[in-house]
Amino acid sequence: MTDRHVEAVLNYRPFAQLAEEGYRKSLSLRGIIQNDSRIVAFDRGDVIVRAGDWGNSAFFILSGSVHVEIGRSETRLEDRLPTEKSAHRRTLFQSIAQLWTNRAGAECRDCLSGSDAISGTKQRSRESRIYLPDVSAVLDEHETARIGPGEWFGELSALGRTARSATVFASEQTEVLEIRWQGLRDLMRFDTEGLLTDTIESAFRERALSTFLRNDVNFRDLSDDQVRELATAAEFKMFGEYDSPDPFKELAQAGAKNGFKGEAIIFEEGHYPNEMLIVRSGLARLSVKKHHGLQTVSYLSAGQSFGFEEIREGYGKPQAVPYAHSLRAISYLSAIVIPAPAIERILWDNKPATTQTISTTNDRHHPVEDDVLEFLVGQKYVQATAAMVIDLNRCVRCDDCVHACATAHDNNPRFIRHGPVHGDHMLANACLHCADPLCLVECPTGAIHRESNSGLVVINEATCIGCSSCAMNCKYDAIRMVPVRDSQGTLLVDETSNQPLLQATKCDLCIDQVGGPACQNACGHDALVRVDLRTPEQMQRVFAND
Amino acid sequence: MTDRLIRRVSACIYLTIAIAIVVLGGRILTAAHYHEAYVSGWSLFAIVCGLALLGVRKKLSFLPVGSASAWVQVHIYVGVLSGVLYLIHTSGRIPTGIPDILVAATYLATCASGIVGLVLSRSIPRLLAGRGTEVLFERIPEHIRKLRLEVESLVTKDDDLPRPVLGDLYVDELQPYFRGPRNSLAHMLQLSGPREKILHQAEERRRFLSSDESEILDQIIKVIVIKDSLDYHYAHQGALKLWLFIHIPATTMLLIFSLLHIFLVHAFVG
Repeated sequence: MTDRHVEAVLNYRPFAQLAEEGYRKSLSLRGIIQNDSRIVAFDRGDVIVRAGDWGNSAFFILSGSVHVEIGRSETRLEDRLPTEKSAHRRTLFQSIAQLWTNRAGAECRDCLSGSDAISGTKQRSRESRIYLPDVSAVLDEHETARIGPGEWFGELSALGRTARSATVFASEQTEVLEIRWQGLRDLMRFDTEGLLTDTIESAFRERALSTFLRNDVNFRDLSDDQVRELATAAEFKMFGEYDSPDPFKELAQAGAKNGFKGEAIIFEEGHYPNEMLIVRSGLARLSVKKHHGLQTVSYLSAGQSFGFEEIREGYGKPQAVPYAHSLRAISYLSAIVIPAPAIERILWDNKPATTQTISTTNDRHHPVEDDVLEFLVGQKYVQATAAMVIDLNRCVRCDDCVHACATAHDNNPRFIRHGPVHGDHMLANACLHCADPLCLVECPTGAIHRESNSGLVVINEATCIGCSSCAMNCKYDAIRMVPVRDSQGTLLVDETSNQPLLQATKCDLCIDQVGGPACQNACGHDALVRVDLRTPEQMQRVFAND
Repeated sequence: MTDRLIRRVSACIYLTIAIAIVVLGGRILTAAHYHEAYVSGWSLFAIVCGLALLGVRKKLSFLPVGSASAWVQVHIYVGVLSGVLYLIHTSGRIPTGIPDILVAATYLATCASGIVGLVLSRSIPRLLAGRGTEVLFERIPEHIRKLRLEVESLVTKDDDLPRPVLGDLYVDELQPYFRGPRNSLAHMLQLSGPREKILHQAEERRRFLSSDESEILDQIIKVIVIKDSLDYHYAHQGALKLWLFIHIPATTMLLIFSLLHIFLVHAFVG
């Protein structure tokens, strides 16, 4: 981005309305636009984002227009598009060659050269794009909405660190400003008037909130008008320590020490159900009182709701049905809250609510043993998509898993066979590839990001500046800061401080290896598994012995 | 029936069938006047080479060549089959001649160490898991060093002089105890005698101590218990690593001596 480009962007609303004096000298408005964005041209039919892919940037239309698929047709547009190639995988020969080409020195980097330290970037191959040869046919067959100049798209999934919710393609020659989510976040952070934040939130209300509400099982069959009314009544709320300046790791550790006391209580068991809550991001604990304490019965993650059953059961009755559980935010929670009167008016006034048994403790009760659930929820392992669980009754402590990991990563292991133990199982300090990875939040360069196809959290060595933000935000000690060497094995040192330069390293689930996670493949005793702990079935299967 | 049990039962059935085929095959070859020793010998050598491939497989965990656990299972069952073949090949006789004795000795050493390794790898993990703590083997000496420093600070007064009685306890009993990992054999035999002995020695000093010093003794006892747990881990994790230092070199020697045996057989017997 040249200065001329930056000036051109600043002429567009809402950038023109951002007050430059609100931004810091080290993070100026022009600097953010220059360093965190680029202008990209798309031809008619070019697919810009595809539903289900993971992206790290938002788009602002400068000229032209795009169409976003909004219909609920049986065949989605993304199903008809070819699958993108996943991250570069080694060939069979390259894989075998690791046995003799792996370097003896630790943490050598090809992309870094001697005295210039981290100055270059990797050569990028020319981007390839999927395009639609017959845009008119696509417009006829799929329900779409047009987005024109001055509007945003992709910002919600980028900021929310979620997969793209819809496919967007250019319907004519289009120029967009693509801005990394870190840049958009910084623009919003120092936007003193809140204009950009209002624009983003209004866009969410207008475009995504209805879809979000409709994804809830309780609202699936409502009419469009009813959903719109609910969206109008809905409020955005945050609970917990989301905006705390302290690193998330410290907050999480403090929370773990305080147990339930450290968690922000949202709704209390036995209280009048005046609101329904749907989780946008974060985790919430469901608990019931047990004698003098509290017992965790389940947890809620993104998309799950709380309070609807009680509101429904109590509708029209003289005595309201109180909340059957307490709800607490585990560290932080972002949610949509809908007042009970609005639900009653929109859904059931003028027609009776169907009588159904409300969810009791047993209905909500997670199938996993209570103490295991307490441990997994309390430590937030329930958001792990690839937790490393080691059965200590089978593990012979041979470290073949660590050796295999090292072989697959240029002789540098990416995890430690150590971690919290519950019963006979250990959750090792290996990246969980969280459903909502907080390590991404503070990365200034976007070096740690989600790979677009698989959604795995990976680190780009060429752009990691070793600031440790990711490591400080990872409560699982899965990210290690290591001193790096150049391709000759010479330790790279900062000229000013004379300290070794550091970079972040972590498990990447062997994304570039033909055989998948080497650690799991290497275990000769079926002791180590990489498991998605978000599903009760997997939890039960893995922790069955406890 | 769990998946593992199904797998074990299936493997036993296949093994039984394989043994039956081998035994019957040997009898048929003998009846047909084939030199059965050549067939059984080459088969045994091929199986031993196949078993040795497990070591190669362990270096290739980044390739889709089947899980290591499946390979280990095959290794175990085919190892049993190799024992049957060995008995057929030697006709159950003790070999004579140095080359044959070397092959037989290395084969038996490999077999025996493999069986020991199997028993250890099935029994020790449960013992370690039941201990309640988990520690990396390579970090144990460092942990012990920190415990030693902690005890030294407990038995030393503010002026860096040793406390009476507790200082003597340290010199007489604790200093050798905290020098490094101890009592490995006792731990392997699940004997708590050495630990009880040192705890008893510590308790014996209590009657000479003031109430403050008695509290210090309580802290020392806690550290002794932690150190004992580290020693337990060191002994058992060490055993899990040690058997491979016998099994793998024995395998290498077995392959070498087998080649020598094959050469000699074909060169001189015809």
